[in-house]
Amino acid sequence: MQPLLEVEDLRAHFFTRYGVIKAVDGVSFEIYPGEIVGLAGESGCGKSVTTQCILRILPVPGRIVGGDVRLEGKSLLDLSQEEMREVRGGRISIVLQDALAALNPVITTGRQVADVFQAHTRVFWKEAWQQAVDVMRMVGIPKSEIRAKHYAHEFSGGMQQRTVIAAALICKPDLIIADEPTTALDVTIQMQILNLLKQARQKMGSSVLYISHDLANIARICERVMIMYAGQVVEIASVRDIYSNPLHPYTRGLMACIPPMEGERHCYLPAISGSPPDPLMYPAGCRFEPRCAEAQERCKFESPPLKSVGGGHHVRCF
Amino acid sequence: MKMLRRLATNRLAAAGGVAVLLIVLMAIFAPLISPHDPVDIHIPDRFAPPLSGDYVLGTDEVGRDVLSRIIYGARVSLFVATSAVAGAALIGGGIGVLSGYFGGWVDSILMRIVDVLFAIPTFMIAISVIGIFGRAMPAIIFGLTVAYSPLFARVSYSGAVAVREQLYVEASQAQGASPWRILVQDVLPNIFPLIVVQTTTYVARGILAEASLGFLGLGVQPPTPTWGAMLTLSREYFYHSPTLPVWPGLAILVSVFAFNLFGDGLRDLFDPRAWQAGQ
Repeated sequence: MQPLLEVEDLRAHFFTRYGVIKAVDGVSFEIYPGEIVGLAGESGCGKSVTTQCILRILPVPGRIVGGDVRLEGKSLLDLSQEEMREVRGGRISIVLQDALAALNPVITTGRQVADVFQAHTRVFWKEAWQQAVDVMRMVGIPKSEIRAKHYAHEFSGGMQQRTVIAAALICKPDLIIADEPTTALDVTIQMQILNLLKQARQKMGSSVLYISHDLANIARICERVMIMYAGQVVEIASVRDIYSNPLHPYTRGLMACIPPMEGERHCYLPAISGSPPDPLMYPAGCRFEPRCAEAQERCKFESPPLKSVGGGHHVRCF
Repeated sequence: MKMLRRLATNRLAAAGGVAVLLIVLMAIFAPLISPHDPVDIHIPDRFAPPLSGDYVLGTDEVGRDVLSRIIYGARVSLFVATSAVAGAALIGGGIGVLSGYFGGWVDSILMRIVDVLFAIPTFMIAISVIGIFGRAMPAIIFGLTVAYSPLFARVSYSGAVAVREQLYVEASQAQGASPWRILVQDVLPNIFPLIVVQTTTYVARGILAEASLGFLGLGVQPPTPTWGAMLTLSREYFYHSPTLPVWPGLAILVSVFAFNLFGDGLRDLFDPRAWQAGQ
């Protein structure tokens, strides 16, 4: 099967006055049609920059310096600005974390959802508005024909996130990038938002790239998981494999941080000691080596490649 | 209608709005409501005190009806002030929004020019422009437009820069909106309140500026009645008929105050986040 999205050896660097920050440094993965893929990693590891590269909305002074992003085999990096605008929101859409900030405060929510539709189709306003009301109803906003005339600050946090999701779904995209969509929400709403993303896949066959640092949520909806560390993907595996057989020491460290649901509850959770490397000066060898409990001598000098261990399980470790 | 109802909840703003409306109506219907011809000279009736005969506010040094001249004076004051400020809002505001939103070298050049103009007192700029182009009404309007443009440019520039950094602009971009679409649906609606408020407060200043120019003899020339010129001329007869300068002064005061109140009310009116508190 042809992958929907292929990211190949993607490199995005920020050219700051302090030096070059290699935010994304050789990231490769595929997303297949109808698949929900998780992307996990700590703050600053390059998750969001990867999504900005896919949509080509990297803020200055960032630049894509290498690699390729292909949608159904066609490189997105070769597209003109106009062609790229068709892709953004039309074929690939994004759900941002901070829904209130992602909504324009002085324009009604319905209008913002309808605007996305109108930017991609040549329809009359009335039709775009009707479409917006329908999608808002679909994502669970009650009385959406009335609520669509309300402003973002008049919505609850969950409703705001639903509105943002409605704007992301209205053009029936092939890929939805959900950039930590549940971080600001309470647990019950989180579940509802996760179910919405699942529904989007069922109803429209969209793939979802779900970015989170909450491994529990990733386990709930994803089929495959990618773990990122210091600008690189360190492990890719099915959810089952990553939980039952995590291979990278960093992944194992993350797994150990999940509170146990059985047995002794009143225990200290282990932490991964140290902090991520300075993105201006990565270690010469493996980037996790300074924090790794199992580091060997060669880890200091040789950078391990991302190698397959069979069954679609890849790991960046010797 | 909704907007009008919201405005009505703010009493001061509503009062300002009503006063502005009355002044505008007075200017438009000046020929119908003024009791005399404003330029009609009646030497025998000169320096008539208020409420003498059919001269409600008395007459000036050549026997022209003061009330009629105040009513007609609103035309010049309002026309000069509103067109100068509208021009400044369009030119200055446009420059500010474009350079603030798009940035780059255009921004650097335009905003440096604005900075230079900003360093010169606005009244100086207006006087220099009028000095170059003469004392006709278009020159006065143009002079004030040039003088006020940098102020509008600064305000809309900082507004556009602030909005550009907002997440909803990034969201629009990620949803495939073109730069112009973002300008129209994200940037302009968010800085519109700023510009509207500035427009009304600057109409007030424009009325003052026109009066000051008239006072300096640089305004619209006699016999056309303007509030500023009326103030200048009556000053010379202050000891003889002390009520004479009061009327144009009062007209300036009331209209400036009305526009300021109205502008304050409009700011709240255009910000959906402020509605709930007011309702």
